[in-house]
Amino acid sequence: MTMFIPSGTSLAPYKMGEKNSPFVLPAYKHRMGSHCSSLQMSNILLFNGIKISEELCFGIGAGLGFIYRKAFSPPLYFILGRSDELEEKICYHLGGVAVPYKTDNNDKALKGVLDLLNKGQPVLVNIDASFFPYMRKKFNLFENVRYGGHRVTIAGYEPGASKDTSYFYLSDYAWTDLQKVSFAEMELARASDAGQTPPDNLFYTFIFPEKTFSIEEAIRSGIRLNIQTMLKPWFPVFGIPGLEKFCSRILTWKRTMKEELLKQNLNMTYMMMEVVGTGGGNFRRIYARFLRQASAILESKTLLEAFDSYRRLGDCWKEIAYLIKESAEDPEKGIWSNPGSTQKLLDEILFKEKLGIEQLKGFLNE
Amino acid sequence: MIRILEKFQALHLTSGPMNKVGLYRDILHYYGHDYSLPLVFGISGLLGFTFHSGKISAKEGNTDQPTDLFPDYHLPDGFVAGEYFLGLNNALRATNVWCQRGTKNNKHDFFELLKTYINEGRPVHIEVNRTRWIDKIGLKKYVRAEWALYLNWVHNTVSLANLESGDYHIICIGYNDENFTLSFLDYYSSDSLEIHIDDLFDCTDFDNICLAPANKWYVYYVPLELPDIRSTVSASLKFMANSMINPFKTGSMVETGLRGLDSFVATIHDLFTDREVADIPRITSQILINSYSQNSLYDFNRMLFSEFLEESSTILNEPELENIAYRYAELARDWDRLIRPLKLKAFNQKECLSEAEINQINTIKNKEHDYVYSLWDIISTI
Repeated sequence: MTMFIPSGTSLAPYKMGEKNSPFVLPAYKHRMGSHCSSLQMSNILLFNGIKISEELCFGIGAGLGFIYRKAFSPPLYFILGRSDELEEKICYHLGGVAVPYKTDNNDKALKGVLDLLNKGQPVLVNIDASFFPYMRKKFNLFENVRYGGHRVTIAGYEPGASKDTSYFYLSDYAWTDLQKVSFAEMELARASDAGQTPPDNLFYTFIFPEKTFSIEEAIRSGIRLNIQTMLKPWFPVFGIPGLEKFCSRILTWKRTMKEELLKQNLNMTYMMMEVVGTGGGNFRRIYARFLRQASAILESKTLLEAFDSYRRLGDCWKEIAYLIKESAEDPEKGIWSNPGSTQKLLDEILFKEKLGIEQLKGFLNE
Repeated sequence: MIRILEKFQALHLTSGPMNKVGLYRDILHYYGHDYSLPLVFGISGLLGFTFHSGKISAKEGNTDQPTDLFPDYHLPDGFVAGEYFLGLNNALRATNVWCQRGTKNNKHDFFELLKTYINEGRPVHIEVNRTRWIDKIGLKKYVRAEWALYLNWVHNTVSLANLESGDYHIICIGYNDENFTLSFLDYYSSDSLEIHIDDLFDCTDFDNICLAPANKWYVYYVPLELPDIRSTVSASLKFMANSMINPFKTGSMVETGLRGLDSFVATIHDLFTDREVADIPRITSQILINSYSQNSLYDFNRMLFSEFLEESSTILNEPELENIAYRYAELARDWDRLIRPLKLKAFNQKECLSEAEINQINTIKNKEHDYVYSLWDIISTI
């Protein structure tokens, strides 16, 4: 049987049988988690012999963040409680390198993935989640929303006669088993023109030294960088400046948007804060768990106090997220049922976010 | 319409073969951060050692092993260099700069992309095939006579096709959409250079050469305030020393760090003692090509690293680093003393390696080991 495989790609390492048979990297352990990037990194590190929990990955990768950004296509606000390039930051803080590769050449993107799999490496890729039936089934988000920043790890493949009959096996954070998608579906999901956040066929090559930096050192580096990214972001709608904008502007949305668009924005905001891979509480709960684990490793009372602050922040974000959800169903309810009280909650969030950063600074000065 | 980022052009400084480092220094300056060339080099984690031991593995029958660490890597057999070719990835992390990147495999789309970013006031970093670029842009007139001699040697001695290589970095600062030309800065020239999009594409559209440019482009988003320089410098020193002492797990015939250096020296030694004369010019050529043109100055970048150590000594208030800086300067001179005579011999197509030169390599190897461990001891206490 003729197999579909791009020219220049070898299948030799797999010693494929006469019939098509799936090959999944035997040493790759699929585990579920709270957030796509941090969970995938924890899995990939484990594959490379480095055992670090998802929460520690999130913190070492300086994952705490905030984005308040208006997109134009579709015209929705993009609100997210995490920072960017978590994968690259984790590797750097461990003494390794994550080399990102983006291309507009779909064949090259496919070949890059197969080459890494043939080398025996799982491949972390960016996808537009709305293309995969298993994602659409779980999250009713993708009618209006295209998000190209979802990360999955390709752990194996099964070559067939065409792109429609060749399959990848994906490790995705919220599913108990590996998911099977065709090469054709994967091509669409990786090359999708997903508005402001296209996946751009992104995939990573991970390179680690024989001995990585200590976990203690990596935690300190992650916290130090996170203070920087929150206070001095590369774009003024990120970090604390972005948070200030969000807290002072969300209540004005009702005056500036028509009802249908307003509901879409509110629903998307709720989903991004609470439902889709945030671990709940706009990533503050996962960050709190990072701080609790870090406080035990570093025997730091200050980090334990910071854990408590972020745990409470997680509760506050959850509260505002559910108010936003109510408003998405009926704009007279939720955050607008008592705007004064909502503003008080938003002010409290902003205050606690700033306090949390001060506590982290205090830890570094110990 | 014609558009030029004049502010960028005004602050541009040449840096010769250190084009990647010079380019990133210009980017940081453009956004208000006055970092020196050695400081940018050091925090970018660019000092290292890479050896692609293709020949050794072939002897052992491991020719099926993959050689690419990541896409577009494609190192030839016997390739040796003073870095890892990880681009500016570490520089971005050290400076907390966000990078938008990609490839454009259609020249019209490429032109439109460059226009879009220039209109936003953002210069665009592009990788090119250095041999094609130097020919195309007529760059010979900007560089030393020695460079012209080198190019003649390349053309006359070694197959040009084997020498085509990427990892040459230029920056687009303007366009003219009436005649489809673009304005670039090259790190050998103070002047802005004009090139038609067709000619540019002839320099970028290579997938299969060493460190292939593959139409890659990068745009940088630099924060108003960079991370604390003390933390940045100490983290970079630690990264460099760790990568040398504990090599990268490459899963291929590419060896890095001190192990790569040891392997390289052993190869040279074997070649000499086995009298495999045919291989001597090949290895010598690789040393020359990489030490000359691949972002290096005969010395595998040890002198620039020495200057970084001097700055680090002041930044970290750590006098011991100055002593290490002195030793790396000595190491740079050692490499230079080894490579310069080789260059002259190669240019004249004479015998390439003498026994004295082989012994010199052993001495250098021992110093490399000693100095990086000394550096590790110092930074472990910071």
